[in-house]
Amino acid sequence: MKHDLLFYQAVILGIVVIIISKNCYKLIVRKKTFNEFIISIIFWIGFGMLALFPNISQKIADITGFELGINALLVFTTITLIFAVFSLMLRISKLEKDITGIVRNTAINNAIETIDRMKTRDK
Amino acid sequence: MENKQNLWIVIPAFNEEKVIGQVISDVLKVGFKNIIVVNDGSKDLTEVEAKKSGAIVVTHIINRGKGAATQTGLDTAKKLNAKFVITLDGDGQHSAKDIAPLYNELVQNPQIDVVLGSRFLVKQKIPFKKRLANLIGNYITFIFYGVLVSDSQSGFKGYNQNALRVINTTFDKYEFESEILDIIKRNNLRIKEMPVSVLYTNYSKSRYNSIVGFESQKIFNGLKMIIRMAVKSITT
Repeated sequence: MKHDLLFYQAVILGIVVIIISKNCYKLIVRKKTFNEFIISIIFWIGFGMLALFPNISQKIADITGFELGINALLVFTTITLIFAVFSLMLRISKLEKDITGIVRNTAINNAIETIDRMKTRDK
Repeated sequence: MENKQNLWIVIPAFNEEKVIGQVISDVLKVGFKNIIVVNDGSKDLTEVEAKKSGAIVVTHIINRGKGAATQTGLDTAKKLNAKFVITLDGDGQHSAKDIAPLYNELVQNPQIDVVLGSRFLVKQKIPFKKRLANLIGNYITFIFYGVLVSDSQSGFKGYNQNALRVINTTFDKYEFESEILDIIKRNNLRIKEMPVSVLYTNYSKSRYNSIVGFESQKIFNGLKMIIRMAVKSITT
């Protein structure tokens, strides 16, 4: 099957290759777990395939009942973005909670230590 | 009246060097000596002024918000074996004279776990914007948590040990006032609203404006608050 590579496809392919290489490196230096690596590889390969073979979106649209491939793409992209924003919000909120916990414990421990010191001095 | 030593006053404060000394001395004047000021990462001399005035100061090394500061104060009071805690704002808008009636209610009426100092049970001069913001806050609290009170955003509250045991808020900013009402409902705590006076000085008004910024920013903060409450409702 002859397939002429369009400019945008080449750019996306380049980006995907870079990201996948980075992911491989992160897996090797153990900055990423194997599961995280697999999830991210599936996502980026899927993204690359979609750019290389846009007809895939039409096939997905046929399977899922969307009339046009672009509709299916729009819906899946929106869902993915909402999911990403939501999981980011959760992650940030957990981090905020952890920071508050650390700040609070430090503050209370310091205050209690000061009170104890003052009590000892008064005795 | 029960021994005043059983009550701890918790005052969250952020950049309140100009008024915190007066707030503490007003509380001391009405006979309550146990005062915890939570200095929430202030950039000014709040900590120094509060210590000078005779309060125990618990300092957050960075600013975490009024909700986080209040919870830190409650946790500290618990560690110091407090039987009762009353929280009030650090900007001087609350009157120390209202502490005694709230405390008496908690002591004399053990069925009551939380007393809520309400600004809206008696007629007093409150700016229209504040009334409106509170009304919206009341209904948002009702929609999310099913609790309707006259002053859901009041920082003037009293707790007995039953309440102190279960109150552990997770919101760091102003939403914690609504979250407390949610905790009260979930744990079947009994609540009583009592009238308190409020004084909006030029200082407190200017401070509010300097913190929150322009009207659009206030609306944006309100929306952020609703989104945070919604996310929490969905995820817990």
